[in-house]
Amino acid sequence: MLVELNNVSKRYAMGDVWVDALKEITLSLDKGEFLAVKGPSGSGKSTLLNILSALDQCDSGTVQVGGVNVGALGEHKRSRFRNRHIGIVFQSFNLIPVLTALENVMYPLTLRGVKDAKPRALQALKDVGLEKQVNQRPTQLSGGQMQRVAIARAIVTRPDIVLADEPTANLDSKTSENIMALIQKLNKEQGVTFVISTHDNYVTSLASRVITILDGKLVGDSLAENRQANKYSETVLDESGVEV
Amino acid sequence: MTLGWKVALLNILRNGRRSLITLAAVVFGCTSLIIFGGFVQSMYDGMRESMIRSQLGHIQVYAEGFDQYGKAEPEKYLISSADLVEISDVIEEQIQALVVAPRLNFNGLLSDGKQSIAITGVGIDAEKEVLLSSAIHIVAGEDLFPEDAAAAHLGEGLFNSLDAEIGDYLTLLASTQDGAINAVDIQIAGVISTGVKELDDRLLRVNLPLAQELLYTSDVTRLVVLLDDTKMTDKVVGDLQRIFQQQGLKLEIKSWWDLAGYYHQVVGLFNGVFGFITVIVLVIVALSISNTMLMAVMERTREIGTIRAMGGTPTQVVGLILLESVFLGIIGSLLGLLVGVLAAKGITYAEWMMPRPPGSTQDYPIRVFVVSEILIKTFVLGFFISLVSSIYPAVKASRIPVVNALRFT
Ligand SMILES: Nc1ncnc2c1ncn2[C@@H]1O[C@H](COP(=O)(O)OP(=O)(O)O)[C@@H](O)[C@H]1O
Ligand SMILES: [Mg+2]
Repeated sequence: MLVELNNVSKRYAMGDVWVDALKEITLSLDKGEFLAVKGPSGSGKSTLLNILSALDQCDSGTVQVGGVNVGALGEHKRSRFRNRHIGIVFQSFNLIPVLTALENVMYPLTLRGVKDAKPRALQALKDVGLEKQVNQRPTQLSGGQMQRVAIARAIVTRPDIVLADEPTANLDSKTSENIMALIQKLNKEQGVTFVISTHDNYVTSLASRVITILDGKLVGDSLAENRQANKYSETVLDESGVEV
Repeated sequence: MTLGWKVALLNILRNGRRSLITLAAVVFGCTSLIIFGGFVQSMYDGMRESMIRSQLGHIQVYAEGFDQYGKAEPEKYLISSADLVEISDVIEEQIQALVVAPRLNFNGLLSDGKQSIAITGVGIDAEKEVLLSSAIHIVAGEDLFPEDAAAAHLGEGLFNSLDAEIGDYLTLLASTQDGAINAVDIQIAGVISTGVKELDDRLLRVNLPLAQELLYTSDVTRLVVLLDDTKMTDKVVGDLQRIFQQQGLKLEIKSWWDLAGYYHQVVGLFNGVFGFITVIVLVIVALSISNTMLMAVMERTREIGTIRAMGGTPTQVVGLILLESVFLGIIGSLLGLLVGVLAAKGITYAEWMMPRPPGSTQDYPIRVFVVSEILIKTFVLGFFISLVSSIYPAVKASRIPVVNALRFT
């Protein structure tokens, strides 16, 4: 298993009351999966992704990514862990405005002093179809292009997993479709593991697996439902076999 | 972190107006340190040279024991006239001195018939003293000439407190070597100013033979040596000590540095003032930089969150902010050096007159030296203050929880 969440809970203080953002989530994820996290606004999707991406820590339960107990890492090690193993794509792109597309993509590599950052970044930009825009600043790019740069930046380090919190929420539907097609392509062709939170049914339709969160609780998992269904039929067969 | 440099520099340019305000603060700070420091140095220099060239010379030579016992019994620690010639020759031959001149000091009373005033007298070699005491101004009357046996120069304050005119005769009383009272007549040849009021109130200069006659001696108190350049003093003192030892001359040597107690007091005082002003300037600059960096950090909270999310460590974030601030500091300090040097040159060129310092009787134009030591110090201070004053903003930036930073709009 690439990712294992065990009984993960997270609560926030809102004034005097506590809000349970996540309640005892248990979830595991395989390499190469394309997981969509579905649920209404405020249901806890972002919280879940933040914990998966080692940006935030849970209050109880354990989080393992690639066999590492992320919750046990201190700030410094957690940063290093993110740099090597996690790619993050934001809803509002979050590119560094003073840097060009190429430099933005190089940035996570230079943070750990990688020597061949430039060729790797150029390749990543090519992978997202932006070989012509490498020297442009974010302000010179369209929303879709900016999100492509952000995706290139997330995959350039060859992370174990890429997390995208509503990556298409700031894009029009045509551009959203293109971005989702890119993500699907990277998932299929390069085997990049994706976890994407979304309201969008189009996104969920592309995913290999969909989980649903409601009020911080995991209320649906397409994989478990399929397994259940398979198990069911297997049981029937076994029983019938016994019976036959 | 090659990109870190670029990000830091471009971020400075990105908020040009705010960066300019901060730069202005740094430039202002550097410029004021350079100007004030250079002014103080020029003041020290002026004071030193005028003391040397009106009273002290660069080096003084006494008979052995003068330093310890000379105050109480000056008559016992004099250089005899026989030794005087030999010593003068030795000094003139062995070192590059502009002037070597004898002086005989005494205390006495000057009387105009109605009143008597205590004076500090000195018998001089009038011809040599023209060069040696070039900073003494003749306010009225004329130079002292060796031929005018009775001629005397009176300090300005002394002259004013007497009811006398140039050319008038006065009576000078003093006790001789063996304690008897002796009197000579002197004629006022001129009125002089040393620049030090306290001295001008008491000073009387006469030709050496007259002083010797008055004190009933053929000795002198000291030999005063003037050099080409004040910087040579220490070396020449060393040379003289060696030469006197070789020649078996029992003499004491003092440099202007040993004798200029007042100079050291003023230097100490002004160094204190300069230190205080430096601290104030640094605080102003530090507040300005730290304010700028706090605003920069606030504005870019989200960007910092993004860098942290990509795996930048808290230390790397601190480095990024410090780098930016140090860039500002270095650019500001370099500009400050440029502006400071130009301002120093400009002020000196303009020759504004300075208000008269306390205890001084002469006006000087304001001069501001460009002192390389001050320039280096200013630059280093600019660098360090920009580093130190951004530590708090930098640490603050690195401690914002990543999730909160990313949520920040
Ligand atoms: N930093 C926070 N402080 C307080 N409450 C928070 C914070 N982050 C999330 N929450 C609360 O936790 C719940 C889940 O939020 P979130 O994970 O952002 O949901 P989603 O992404 O599905 O909209 C919401 O009720 C939200 O108000
Ligand atoms: Mg959300």
